[in-house]
Amino acid sequence: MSQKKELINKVDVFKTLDDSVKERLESIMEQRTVHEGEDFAVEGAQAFYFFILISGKIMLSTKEGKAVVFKESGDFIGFELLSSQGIYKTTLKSLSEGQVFFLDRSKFLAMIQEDSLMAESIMTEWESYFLKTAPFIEKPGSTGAESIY
Amino acid sequence: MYGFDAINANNGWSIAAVGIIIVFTGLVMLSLIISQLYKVLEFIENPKRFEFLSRKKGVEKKEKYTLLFLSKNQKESAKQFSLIIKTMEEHFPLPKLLRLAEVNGLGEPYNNLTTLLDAGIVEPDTEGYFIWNKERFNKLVS
Repeated sequence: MSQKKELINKVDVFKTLDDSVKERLESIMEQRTVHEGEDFAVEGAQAFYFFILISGKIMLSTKEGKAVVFKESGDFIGFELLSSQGIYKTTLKSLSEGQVFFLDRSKFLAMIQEDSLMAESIMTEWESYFLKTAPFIEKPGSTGAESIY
Repeated sequence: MYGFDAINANNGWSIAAVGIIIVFTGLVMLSLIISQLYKVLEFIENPKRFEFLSRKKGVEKKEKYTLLFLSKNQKESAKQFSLIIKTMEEHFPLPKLLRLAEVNGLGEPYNNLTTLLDAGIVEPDTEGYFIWNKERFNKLVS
């Protein structure tokens, strides 16, 4: 099994997807190295990617100083899933050198727009994941939800 | 005997008072149950959303303290971090701690901060801030 496939199966948000969808996801994922201290997403900037952690430690923080540290392989970082404006709501800083899959945001949203059942499944899992990992972060406005379905 | 005399003679006032208390207590309890009913309905409709309640403890236990011993250098760094912590509030923002570590010229602030996180000396609270676990610090550093 490829590393991409293995990791997708670990991601809570994608676990209910069909194999064919997971294969399509693989095609829009790009592996990159992140370096210690690197800000690879900045709050307020245009959001181009979602992220899946392969290795390393990522600190997600808000302007108020609230933060959560992702350190498990398969952690999904994409709190902008519901934001139609596509603006990063948080800053992502790498606390150590690591590997991250960058998931093209626009291609991903276009993909799930094709199938309302898949979109619903992803959104349900995402809500649950959101509550589990960072319930203290203000949920992005639901303005984009309609466009996803 | 009739009227107020009869009420007084048969403890009517206290019985009435007990009756009022029982009725009002019942109404308050009923309103509390109704006000929370939406949570039960939400749970019935979408139990997956509540999985984190049962999973969280297990995950925390598994993830907690992935580092059980500190090297001499790591202990020294933890002591330096503890000095910075003294200037901060009990529940502090993690990015601020990192920034202060950099400003104060602590060696390898990122690496040492992750060491503190792995050792459980710096721990997240439930509000997105972090706390300094003195017990862990004393155990691993002293």
